[in-house]
Amino acid sequence: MIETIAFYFLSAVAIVSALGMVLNVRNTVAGAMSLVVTMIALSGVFVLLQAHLIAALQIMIYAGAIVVLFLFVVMLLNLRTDEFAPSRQPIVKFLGAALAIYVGIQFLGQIELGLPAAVETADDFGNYRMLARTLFTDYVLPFEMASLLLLAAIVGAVILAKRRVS
Amino acid sequence: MIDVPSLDPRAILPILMVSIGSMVVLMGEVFLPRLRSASGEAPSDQRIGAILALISVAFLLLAFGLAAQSVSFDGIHFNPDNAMIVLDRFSGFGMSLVSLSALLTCILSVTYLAAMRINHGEYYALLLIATAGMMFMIASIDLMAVFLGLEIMSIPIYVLAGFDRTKLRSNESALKYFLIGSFASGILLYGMALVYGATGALDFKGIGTALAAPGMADNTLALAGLGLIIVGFGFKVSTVPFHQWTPDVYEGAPTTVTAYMSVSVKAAAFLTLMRLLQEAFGPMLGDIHLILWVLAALTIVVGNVMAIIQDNVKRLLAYSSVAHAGYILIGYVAATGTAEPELAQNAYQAVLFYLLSYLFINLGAFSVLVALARRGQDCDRIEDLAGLAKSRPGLAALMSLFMIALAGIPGTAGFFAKFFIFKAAVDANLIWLTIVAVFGSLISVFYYLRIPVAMYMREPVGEAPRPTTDFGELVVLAVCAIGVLVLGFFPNYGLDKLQMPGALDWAQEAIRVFYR
Repeated sequence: MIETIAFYFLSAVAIVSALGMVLNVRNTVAGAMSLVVTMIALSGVFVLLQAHLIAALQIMIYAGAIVVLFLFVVMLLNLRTDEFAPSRQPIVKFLGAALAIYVGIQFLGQIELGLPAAVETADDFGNYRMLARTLFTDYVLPFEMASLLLLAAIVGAVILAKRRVS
Repeated sequence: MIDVPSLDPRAILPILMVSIGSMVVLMGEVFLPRLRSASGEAPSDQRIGAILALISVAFLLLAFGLAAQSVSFDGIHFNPDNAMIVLDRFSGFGMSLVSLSALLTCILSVTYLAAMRINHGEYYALLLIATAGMMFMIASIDLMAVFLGLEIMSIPIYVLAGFDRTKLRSNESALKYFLIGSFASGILLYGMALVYGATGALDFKGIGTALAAPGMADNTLALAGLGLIIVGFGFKVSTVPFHQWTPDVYEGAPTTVTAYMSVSVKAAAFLTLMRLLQEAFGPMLGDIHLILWVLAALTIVVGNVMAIIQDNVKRLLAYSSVAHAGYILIGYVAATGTAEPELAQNAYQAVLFYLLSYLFINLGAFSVLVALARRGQDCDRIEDLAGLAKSRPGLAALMSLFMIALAGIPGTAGFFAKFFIFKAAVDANLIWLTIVAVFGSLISVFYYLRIPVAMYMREPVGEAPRPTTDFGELVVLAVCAIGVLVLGFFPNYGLDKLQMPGALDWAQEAIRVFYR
């Protein structure tokens, strides 16, 4: 019972804050903050699913790293509010609206009403044990390649930020 | 307990070699300056750079040999339980291509880096990591591996574009490439997510099976996903309208990086897209045929027209590379538009041959610019090349060779590259697209020939160019010139002693992987 209430509450928060992010075109920073709220609510849903590791990762990666990246880009570009003024060309507006309506109809057509049957999850779904096992067996190659990616990022950051050498 | 999967390391040997190479170079950068000669002198920066370049070349040569030779037809999987990548003839071809271009770039860079005062060992390490990423991406048969490879390729190249930290242009180049590239990656990832949502599979074979089910071929979700994936790759290979970053990034990046980028990134992205279309999206090829048609036509027209008005050789070559992406795309249009496997096979073979020819031609053209760079300053305006025939007749002749090869004049690799592509297009009944492409090539002759005209018919302006060419630069120029001429006169010339097949046979063997 409590779980159901918590689920509906968290879902409502996630949807409202997601809408707040999309509809808030005037203030991008507030939009990004709204995204943080969505992510935190989603991680709550994962807690309800007993997927504690995913819940923690959700906060660390999405609410932490990715939103920081968004804010970095927003502040770097430093756009003013009036630059977000709607485009004055009617043709652009018309085409945009037509495309949005078309895509919307297409996607609505795909939605099946009613809830799907609950999916059976494994006992260890979303906890560290299962993650570790998958990472080091099925996904061992991508896992190792990801370390190469991190190496490249570290070397790149050092070389770009290193103090000037004479 | 974890069941340890049975792994087959042979499948990743080329990638492993390049990755190990990058780490050896990083270590070398730390320990080499501490070595002392008998007289107690520390080695000079340039010597350290040369040693690191040699180490990189050795590892790349090893990777090239492994990728080109020991390739079984059926392909080897690293982890048969969950195959992420496969080493088959197609991957072997692609891996050889990118390791060859990285190898030539390493040799080319030694003197240039010293002249530009950016002689840091990390340059070679990043170059090797990017190459490893490209190899991983080309060999991947899983969307997750594609994305991972793309990022391992992109991130080092963002950094390399901004390697000349003291120059504003280089900073701009890196930042622009980074921001636009990140958005492109995001779009690509979104496309992959939609495809996963529609098919429930990430591996190419699984996606192909799911799409082959009745009614799935015009599934909106999967089509939207495929569209976004094509946009993402469109950014990487710079097709119009996703090309706007290309001239600024190519101009600002150090010339050696531009050379590497223009050849390798394009080849890796095009090859990955080929396997993706062929193995995963087979049932949908008819749907995207028209999109590719429009992209190819737009790319050829815009690339060639914009190149006319450029005064900077690097920008000119950037727009020319956009146009060449258009020609290569024709091969995909032809392959997706025909029902006969044989015609599609010929079209893809033409694409592979084009990528190989383009490697020699474009690396050659940029090597000439590298060989002309003065101390701390690039020599990249058309004015700078005026009168070069008098001061540096050899370089002027080579530059002219590469320019007529880019224009596609007979006797050079560029001619056969375009010939095979156009032939595939005509066979697939793409008459109008062929007319657009031929028209584009005619325009391109005009702007490519501006450079030889400036070199041979105008008087020198300003400072004299560097008086000598270094050994490494000479080697690269010679390899590229020989490649251009050999492919131009004998497109299927092989080396029996080295068991190297001719370029056409090699490409055909690689393509046959898709038509078993």
